[in-house]
Amino acid sequence: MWSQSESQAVVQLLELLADRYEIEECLARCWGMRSAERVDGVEYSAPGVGAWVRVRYRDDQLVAAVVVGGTP
Amino acid sequence: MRIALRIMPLGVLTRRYLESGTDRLAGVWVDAPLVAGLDAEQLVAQLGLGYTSTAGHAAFDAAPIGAVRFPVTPAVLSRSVVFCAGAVSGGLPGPCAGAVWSGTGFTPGSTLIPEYRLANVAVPEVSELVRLDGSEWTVLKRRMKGAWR
Repeated sequence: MWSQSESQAVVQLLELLADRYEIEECLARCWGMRSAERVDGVEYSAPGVGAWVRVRYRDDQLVAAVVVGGTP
Repeated sequence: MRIALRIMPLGVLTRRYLESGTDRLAGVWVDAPLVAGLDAEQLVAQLGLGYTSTAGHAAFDAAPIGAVRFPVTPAVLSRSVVFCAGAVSGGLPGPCAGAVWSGTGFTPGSTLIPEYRLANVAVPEVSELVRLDGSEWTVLKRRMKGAWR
């Protein structure tokens, strides 16, 4: 379960990487996350992480990222 | 000049840099001399590339391996950190579940190869798109005057 500061760090990291390939590589390598296409973007999750990462892309570039779940 | 490799499947490399025309570079890189002479199987093993992609398939399967080979310019260095969970400001959960990276940022195993994470920068001039043939890297294109030639 990610804390609030950890969730913020994840979002900052994804914003730094910016590109979808880099983001997905990071999420897969670091946390073994899988993707699911949603109406409002792509949702990434993994067993044991206890949080979801939702990312909206435009032309495979990050527009917005948010971590859902975790501990306050 | 320090030379590095940003390794990715060859299909991704050509799609991104030759078809989509991106001029950006980001993600995990390694010092080229430290992986010189390794074939694809060794490279995957040494760098922990045997992970599953977010789409649920092997990120590096039997497909050819490519890379951006680039000079580690001051701009690159200033936007790079040793890639481990603890190196990111604010801390990250982990460290890197699955133990791809240890807390030191070095891949596990007998050969220690430091990996660095690069934030998004412009591809440096004189960078090369390369393909791994056996244990040698073959140059496909060079970055000259803002274009791949």
